[in-house]
Amino acid sequence: MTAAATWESRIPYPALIAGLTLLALALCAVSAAVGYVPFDLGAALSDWLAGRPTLGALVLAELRLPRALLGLLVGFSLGLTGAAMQGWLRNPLAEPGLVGVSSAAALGAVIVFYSGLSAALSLALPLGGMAGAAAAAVLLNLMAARGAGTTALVIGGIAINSLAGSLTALALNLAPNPYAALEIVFWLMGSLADRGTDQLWLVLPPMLAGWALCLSGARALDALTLGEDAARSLGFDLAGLRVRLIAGAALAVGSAVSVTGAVGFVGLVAPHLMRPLAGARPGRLLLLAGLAGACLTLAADIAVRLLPTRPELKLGVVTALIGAPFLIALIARLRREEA
Amino acid sequence: MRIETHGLSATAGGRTILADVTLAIEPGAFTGLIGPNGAGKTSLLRLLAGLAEPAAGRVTYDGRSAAQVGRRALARGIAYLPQSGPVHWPLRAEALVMLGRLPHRGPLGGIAAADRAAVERALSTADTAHLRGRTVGTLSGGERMRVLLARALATEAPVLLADEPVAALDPGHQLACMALLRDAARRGSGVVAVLHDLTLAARFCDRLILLANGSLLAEGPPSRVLTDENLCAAYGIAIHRGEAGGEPFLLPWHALPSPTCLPETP
Repeated sequence: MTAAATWESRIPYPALIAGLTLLALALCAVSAAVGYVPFDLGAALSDWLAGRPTLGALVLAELRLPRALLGLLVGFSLGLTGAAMQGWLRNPLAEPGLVGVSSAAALGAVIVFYSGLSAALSLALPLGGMAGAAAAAVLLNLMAARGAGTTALVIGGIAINSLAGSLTALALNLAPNPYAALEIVFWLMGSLADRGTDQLWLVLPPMLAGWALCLSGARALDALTLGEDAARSLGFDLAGLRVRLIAGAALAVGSAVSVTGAVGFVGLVAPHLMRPLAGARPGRLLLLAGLAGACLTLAADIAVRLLPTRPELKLGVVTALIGAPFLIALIARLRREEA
Repeated sequence: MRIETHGLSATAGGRTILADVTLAIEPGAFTGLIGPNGAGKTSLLRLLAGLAEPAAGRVTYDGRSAAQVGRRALARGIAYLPQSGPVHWPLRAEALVMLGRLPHRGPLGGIAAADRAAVERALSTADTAHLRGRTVGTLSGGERMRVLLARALATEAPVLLADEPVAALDPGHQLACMALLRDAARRGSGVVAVLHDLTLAARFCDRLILLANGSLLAEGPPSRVLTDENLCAAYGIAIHRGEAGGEPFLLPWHALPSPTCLPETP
């Protein structure tokens, strides 16, 4: 019996969910306590709860908590959507942005940057990102409505990815001054720094809707393990599933990218990490991968602030630096277990 | 459930793969679907399962169309076992068989005692209870096929459509699988299996459907379908026949040169 099977029988699913939720909340608390300014979390918390507008309370409510909660939301979105995409395409290489929504969101944000709207309105940037993701989702669903199959949609997603990527490069190329280009490049690297409550409230509703859409496909994703014919014979509407998953990815990942920029590898690694614990069941993997994504993102964002480098490393850089070797090690271990 | 087809035709890439097939699948009978490669057996099975749209004609389930029956009700009524079905993730056999219960579970409902009982019955019927803890990747081809058969049985649908269920099995499990399908029909299910072994088809099936070039060449009891003329016309082969214990066996003996294979009467 493989290690995967043994784990699954030892840790019941509710215990896994509870354990990961506690871990994510604990990391949220650590994230709120960690920062550059010496900070008494206990005093700030009691000031904030008592409504005393001290400096500590303000830092907690306006900077630390939004950053920690955004880390949680963004990580959960990436992990959950990654698991949903892998299950849908039955391909362990799939990642949340596969259908083009992340690069389209990044392009939307870059266009806003470029036009100077972001200077006028702080929420213009995330709104632009969401508009980009929505455009990608609408385009893909139009392709689907014209009868494109799953493979054609993935290729469509790749086309959207590369188009959005080259338009982003074009914006950089034509940037009026080097400083503007640098700002765009830095933003694209992905970060949770200096995000406020405004952004939090802006992305929460679309993210929740996106999560619900992805989670509603759990049973159909389980059935797809047996292939499309068998899944349909088990009573699942695969065209409906496709619409739900594309819309879910656009809402959850699109809003994540539009506030944090590109945070790579979390959506790819989290499902791989949790798959043995889910007994490889794609439906059961969804919540587990979401929670694992939240933990990974929070841990990386804590590491960013603990590392002595200045300027602060970008979150997306750290997740990719840790994620890539980690994924290679994970794949090597799974190979050994299968052999 | 009684499935009927009326003037059923199907095309793929502009080519006709089924032409004007009218037949009925009765409950309580084990029907063998036979014919050479490319005759349209899988296409017919998918049309019967409601997985494809016919180019012409219609399929009815107790007189109603698939849309009238409804997707979920149809899923509870028909279990479909695809040919060499893929398994994309390394699930454990027990979890895989449990997928057969999906049509019976509500959108949020958990696994009920009835689901567990059905899975146990399916695992033991398909002789796979000892494999329950194994992940799919560690199973042999035949073991995998039996676990997938158990998955289809776990639905406990009144109709079972199986595409080449015995293709990957050793002779012992071929006999066991054919007996299992016949027993399911004896208990009242309508069972249709795509088969290539003519002896198994002759011995175990109540009825045979012989397809050739997308047309219904013959249907009825095995003795009436498996005639020298039909087999010559469909497969282009001569058959060596024998009898053991009062049951017939048929061995494909040699290929016939194509002109002699033309049916003498249209």
